[in-house]
Amino acid sequence: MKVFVNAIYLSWNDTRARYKKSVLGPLWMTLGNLIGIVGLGWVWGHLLHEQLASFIPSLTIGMVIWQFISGTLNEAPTTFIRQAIIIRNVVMPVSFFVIRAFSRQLINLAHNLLIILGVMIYFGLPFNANTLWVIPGLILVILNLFWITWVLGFIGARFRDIEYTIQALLPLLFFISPVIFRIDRLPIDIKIINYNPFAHFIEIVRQPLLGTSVNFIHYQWLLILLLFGVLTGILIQKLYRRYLAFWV
Amino acid sequence: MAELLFDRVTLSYPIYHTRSMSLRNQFVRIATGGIIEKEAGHTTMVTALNQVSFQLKDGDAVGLIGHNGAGKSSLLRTMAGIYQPEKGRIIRQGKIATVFEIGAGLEPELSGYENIFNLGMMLGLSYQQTRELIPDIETFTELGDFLQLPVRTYSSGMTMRLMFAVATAITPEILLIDEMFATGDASFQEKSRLRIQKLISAAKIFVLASHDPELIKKYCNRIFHLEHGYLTEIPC
Repeated sequence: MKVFVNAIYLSWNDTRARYKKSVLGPLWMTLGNLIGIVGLGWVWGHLLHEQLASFIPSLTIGMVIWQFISGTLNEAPTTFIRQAIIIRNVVMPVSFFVIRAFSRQLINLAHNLLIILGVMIYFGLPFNANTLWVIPGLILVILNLFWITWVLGFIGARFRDIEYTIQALLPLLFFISPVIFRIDRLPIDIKIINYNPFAHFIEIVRQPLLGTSVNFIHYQWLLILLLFGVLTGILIQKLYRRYLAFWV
Repeated sequence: MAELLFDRVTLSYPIYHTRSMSLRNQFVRIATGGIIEKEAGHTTMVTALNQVSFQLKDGDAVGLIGHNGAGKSSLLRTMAGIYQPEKGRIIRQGKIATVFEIGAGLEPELSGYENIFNLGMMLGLSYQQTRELIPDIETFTELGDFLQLPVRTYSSGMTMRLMFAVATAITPEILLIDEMFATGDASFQEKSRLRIQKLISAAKIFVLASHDPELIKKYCNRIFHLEHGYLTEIPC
């Protein structure tokens, strides 16, 4: 428990250090994203002939969750490498390093959720019992990205190419994720999107917030993925924990 | 009661070359069925500690000497539990504090005060526990108003004062230090000597790796000599 609290505090410290000399501080992230979403929403909305009132909320949620996913994937392989000097100097459970690295993504997400809230209020989206489904959805997304950070951190510490591989694949992943478009609105049926796990990460959060009916297939996907991830994480931890200090 | 026991501990670790750190080579290795296996999978195993045995009890202050690369830092890290050996038995009792690399765990943009929390929490203290240490750290480091400045403005001597002050303020039962006093001035050396003596007289274990025989003589009551991973105790 103390490990958990300390890791989160230190992560908050990291964020403060990053924005030490700026006036708005971490709110720059929120502001930057807001500008981006308004701009993209306006341009794409017109290009795709969408109703802005439904397109912008959908795009906003998609972008925020996508940034959460891509930020995590981008930084996960260097989770341990970036903290190498600490790993080589003090004894700490692995979870400390993972939580510290991952809370940085959570802090970013928390700032961006403000945008979603603002957009929902501005466009008058309904808040009802259906909306509450976003909570288990978001928790599942967070837990899944947590194990991904853990596992990719180990692999990235051993194989330094992983970081660049992921950076190269991210744009491709963006195109097969329903960020700009909605799966059910595609003119043609592109099957591969349904097999992209991150498509479910986005939809599981988006559906309840937009007030559409919730599709439980997404919950199944994320639960199975979580089970797989936890088992992989435990296995890697058992086999390779000992080597971590030598790898970094 | 603090205790540190090593029973025939052997530590060897892999050194990966750039080629074996790359995933492509691991695939090529599988695909080519081992023709260039020797090249691609080449990792050197370094035996840093070989059948090392000793027992440290309350009040032991050990000076660790040996050439560069003799295994001093590896031994200290194994003592701390950062490196886990594949052979041998280690018994470790007592709270451990380490001062190995200057600047480890410090955030250069944050102030000295904020970094006290960084260091304290990394040594396993809570926020509240760390806060209680601040007066003690203020008096020991004598950094005064510098504690409000970002750590990036500190000299290496000042950084050392801060790290040493935090590591000893938590009153560890086992204190492990790697070559640190080189950067401190005379008055800091004298102050830290007093502090370490207090620690040892409180029946704790202290291990210092150093190349300076004078320093070892001043602080320590046992001397371990490391050579190519073999450890021998030499009379003080």
